[in-house]
Amino acid sequence: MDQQAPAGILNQAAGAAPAPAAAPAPQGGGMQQPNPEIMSPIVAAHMDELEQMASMMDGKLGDAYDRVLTAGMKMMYSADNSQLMQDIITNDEIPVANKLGEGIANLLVMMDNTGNGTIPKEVMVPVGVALMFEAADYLFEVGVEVTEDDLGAALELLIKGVFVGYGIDPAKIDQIVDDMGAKLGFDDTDAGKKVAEMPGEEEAVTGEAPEGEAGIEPMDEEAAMQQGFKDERQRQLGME
Amino acid sequence: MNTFEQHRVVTQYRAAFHDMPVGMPMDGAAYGEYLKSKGLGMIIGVVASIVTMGAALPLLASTVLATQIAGGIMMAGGVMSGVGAVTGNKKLMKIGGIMSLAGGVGALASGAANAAGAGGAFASGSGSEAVSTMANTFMDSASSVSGGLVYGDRVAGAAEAASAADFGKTGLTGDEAGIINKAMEGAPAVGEPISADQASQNLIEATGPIEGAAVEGAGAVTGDVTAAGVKAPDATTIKMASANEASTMSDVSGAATPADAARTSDFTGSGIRAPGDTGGGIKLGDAAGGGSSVKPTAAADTIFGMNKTELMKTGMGMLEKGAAAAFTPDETAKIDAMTDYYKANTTKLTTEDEIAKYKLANAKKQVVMISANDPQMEQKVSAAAAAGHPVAFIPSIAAAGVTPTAGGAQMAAPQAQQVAAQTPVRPATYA
Repeated sequence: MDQQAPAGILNQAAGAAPAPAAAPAPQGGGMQQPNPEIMSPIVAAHMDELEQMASMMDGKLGDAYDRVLTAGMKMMYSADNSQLMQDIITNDEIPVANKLGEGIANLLVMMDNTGNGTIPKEVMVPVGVALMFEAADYLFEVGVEVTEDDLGAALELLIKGVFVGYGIDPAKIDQIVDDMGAKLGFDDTDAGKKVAEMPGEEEAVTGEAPEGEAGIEPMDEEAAMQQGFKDERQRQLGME
Repeated sequence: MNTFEQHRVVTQYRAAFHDMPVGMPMDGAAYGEYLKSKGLGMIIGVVASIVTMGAALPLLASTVLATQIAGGIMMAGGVMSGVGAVTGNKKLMKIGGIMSLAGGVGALASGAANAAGAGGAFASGSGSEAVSTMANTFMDSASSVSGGLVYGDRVAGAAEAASAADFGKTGLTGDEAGIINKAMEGAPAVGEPISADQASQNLIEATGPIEGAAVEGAGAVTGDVTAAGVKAPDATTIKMASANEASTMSDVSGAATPADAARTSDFTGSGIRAPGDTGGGIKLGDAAGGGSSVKPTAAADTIFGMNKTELMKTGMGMLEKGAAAAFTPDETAKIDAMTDYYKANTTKLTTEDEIAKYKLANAKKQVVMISANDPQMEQKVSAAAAAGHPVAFIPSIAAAGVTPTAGGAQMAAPQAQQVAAQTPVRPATYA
């Protein structure tokens, strides 16, 4: 890890002063000025894990992580994107989890496309997680409440979105993870037992649209394209 | 997506929308407008503008790509476990825990994950090694869960190969060949007969349960499995060669793969027959035959209870088994012998190479032989040293030379060649 990473939550970690329990609510439906002096307590609670994640990446992986994180920060905070970001943040119809998870996932994929796929895919999710916490902290600074549940759902959406962005079926990944867990005997581990003891279902509430409508199922894109194309052709040919 | 892929996609879109009313006449349609108006809601959820930019571009899916991304998930597993532990999100907890377990880096726990007893934190600087460790498990599981998108490239390739195979000669489809491959599982080595019990058992396992059918003649025949052919995938009456038609398995050692052997075998000979055929053998479909009754599956997209994916797996598994079966004891001994042969050849070539090198190194060397009696010895030695030639001295021999021994009374007088052999011959002297 070099020192080129921009100032953000990752560089505020230990020294960050505890933020007020509740951020001031935005006034008039717009965004208030961000206050970099405060830090979301929810984000601060996970700083140890974020730092460990970042420190785990060594050598070229660490360099790539730094570069991509820097680029992501620049894109998030660039003047060109500020209006877009503001529109998304202030849109009350978009759940916070989607703002964070899907937004960061697509930012990552867009960055990789811009770089002709040169971003090492191993750093995509770690960078996405770091950017997501950065964005969550920024939302807190501008007065948007972000809960732990939002973070959890956003994490799910982030990972799902990255896979979908690369045309990989997240359901298959779930199956693979389950298979890995079975082969590794995850259920017999302490973590596995903790998971088993947890109440509720595995699926978190993510605010996703119903299947087949506006979901992020990877096959929807091509199917929608083909169907739209056929409909348009029929319309042009006067068959409707 | 690289430049060439992007160009291909753009060309594809332009071709698809060339006759649409929006867009430049020469540059094609404004496919972006189309996507925005038609496909936007379908592509992604609610964060429309950013999402569209990101989601539409990369189209390539592969196991390697998924594994690489999963490596990142593993490194973020600590955060996921931590957030999952706090929020009670079982899915996050599970993914984080399993990934860190697969990467072998989940021993160090801290933060919220530690407080929750979930673990999932990582050792500093262990990322590359952990990703490598995790990748093995991930790929293995991806293989187990294959038949889907992650292994789509491999499955698609296998499917193409299967569909392109020349089954016309045998009247087989790829699915039927898969059944035969399944039936050959556990078959004896090449040249050994296979019992009818084994053949029928394999066949039943391969084809799945068939309701109302019975195995006839089981235990009475020694069938020729490699010469057997399935003529109809939906056959309810399948017959095998009778005992007096017993034959042994064909020698398929010349075939590239068991699948090749299956394709090239003579399926017109005695073997599994379609309904109506009169050949003797195992008859399925006649409950009166006395065999065990089995039930068919009625799904239209399956054959004998196995869908195409299962058949594909069966075929791939058969390839592995066929490769293993090729290594019989004789083959192993042969390979060992060949290995020794090549080792010996290697040693020989190495020795010859060393000799050649020695000769090459000494090709232009000149040794100066100087007689010990040479009156100019000192000058010649100096000259040789100046020229860089090694010097060898010829020992002095008495004036009388060597006198051949008489050999005693029992020995005949020395022959001329014996005398010659004992007479020292002075080598040439170089100066």
